[in-house]
Amino acid sequence: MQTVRVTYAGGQVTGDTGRVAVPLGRTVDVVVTSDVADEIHLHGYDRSANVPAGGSATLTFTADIPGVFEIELEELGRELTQLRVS
Amino acid sequence: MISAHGVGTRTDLPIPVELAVTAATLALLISFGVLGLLWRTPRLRGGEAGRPLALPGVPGLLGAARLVVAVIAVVVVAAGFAGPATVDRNLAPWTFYVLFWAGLVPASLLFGPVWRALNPLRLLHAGLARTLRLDPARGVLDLPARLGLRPAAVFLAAFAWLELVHPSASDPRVVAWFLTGYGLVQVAAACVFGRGWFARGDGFEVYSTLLGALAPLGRRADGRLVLRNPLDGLDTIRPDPGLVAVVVVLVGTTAFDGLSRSSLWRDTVPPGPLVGTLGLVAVTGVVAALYLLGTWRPDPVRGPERAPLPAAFAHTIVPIAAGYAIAHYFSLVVFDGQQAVVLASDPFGTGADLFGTATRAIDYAVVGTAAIAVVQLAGIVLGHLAAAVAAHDRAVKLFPPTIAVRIQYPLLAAMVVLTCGAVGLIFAP
Repeated sequence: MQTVRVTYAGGQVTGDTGRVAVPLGRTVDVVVTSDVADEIHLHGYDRSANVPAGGSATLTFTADIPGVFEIELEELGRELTQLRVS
Repeated sequence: MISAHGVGTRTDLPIPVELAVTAATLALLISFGVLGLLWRTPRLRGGEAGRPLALPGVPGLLGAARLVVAVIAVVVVAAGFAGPATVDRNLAPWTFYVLFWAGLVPASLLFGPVWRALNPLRLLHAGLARTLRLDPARGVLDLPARLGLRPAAVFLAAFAWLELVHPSASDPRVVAWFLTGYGLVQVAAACVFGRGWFARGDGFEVYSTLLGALAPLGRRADGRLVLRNPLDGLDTIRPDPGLVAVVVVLVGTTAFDGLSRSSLWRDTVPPGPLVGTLGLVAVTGVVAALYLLGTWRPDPVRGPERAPLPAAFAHTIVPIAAGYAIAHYFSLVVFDGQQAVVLASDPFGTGADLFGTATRAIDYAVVGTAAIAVVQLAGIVLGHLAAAVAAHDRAVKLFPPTIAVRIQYPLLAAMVVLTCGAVGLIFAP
């Protein structure tokens, strides 16, 4: 079990940003805290979750596809982090 | 979808360091090997080479294929304007960036200058010229010969800017507007300058024609369809003015595509179109500088009828450009190309399922990461091999043996740097 935490506040992204290494096959919880309401989207795996303004949302998935995948705030088009699954 | 680069659901993993070192070493060994083997008379026969093929011609096949491509182009633009507004449900960005732009590479390398044969803009121009009573072949004005292929270089650079720097490159409406604008400008230019414009000003057609020279299928100087050594095909590329600009833009923009996906770039550089533009221009400038350092020197036996050295050797960069494209776009075509097929079943978001693929998802298991790494490196290394051999043969064709050897050192050095640069880009985390 691996947890990736990212916070979006005041236009800045903090936390596990950049590129996070994830071993192939691991189950991952991506916890996003945001001060604006948006949809978090994990590309490739194509998972989404809505995050409320001032709250958090968690995406849970099993990393069974190798590659580098972006997690984005969909409406804002802001990249939060990249997961490197290998 | 990833806002930075056209479309893409996934980026490749960096290749393992052992593979990177192996590839770079191979590039060096190939270059020394080519110099060491030192054939003294040119071996490539260019337009004379090839074994004639007896392919049964199906009358009307080409016309039908052109019509199909034209219909697909119209559907893509229509879907871009009127289909679903988000890129994940609209086939336009996927078809344009993946099936067309990235897919043009394998299609041309295997079958020749496919886009010259299928370009729907040529059809459009032919029809428009007839309606407006313009001469389709000669147009109204002459395009100055000294411009050469530079218009194509400009349009390729504009497309690269759209794909790599524009903040909404993957937005279906943006894609539709770009395609419409591009088509209008190209057809208007062809009305003015005649259909010869397309072979000099349509960036996509010029790209396909250059890559297509490397195909095993080609046309001999006497017009017959032949099976030939790709290096002979490469030798037929004419040293037109502007060829240097085209190959430099192709390599530079693909290199920037790779660079801007790396952590190095993303962590150091603030996001935004201004920085992106500067980066694209800078990387293209570096490639230009490398190539010119390799080739720009006084020609010791220059005759008035000979092209300047940078143009005379520019065709040798085409295999390197092909290697860069394979390395960066192979997995994109294999994975994200599937999404275009999925979305084609419901082009306007009406809930249709025309081809039965609407409920499918991208199958990421079709190719493994090891296979991807091998394809990437094979593309780069084979591209370097073809480039080095082509450069040596051109040198012995143009110069007496002693000068031919000297002339190659800087060019081969530039090629090694470009090739190691390609390896570095797929190695960088």
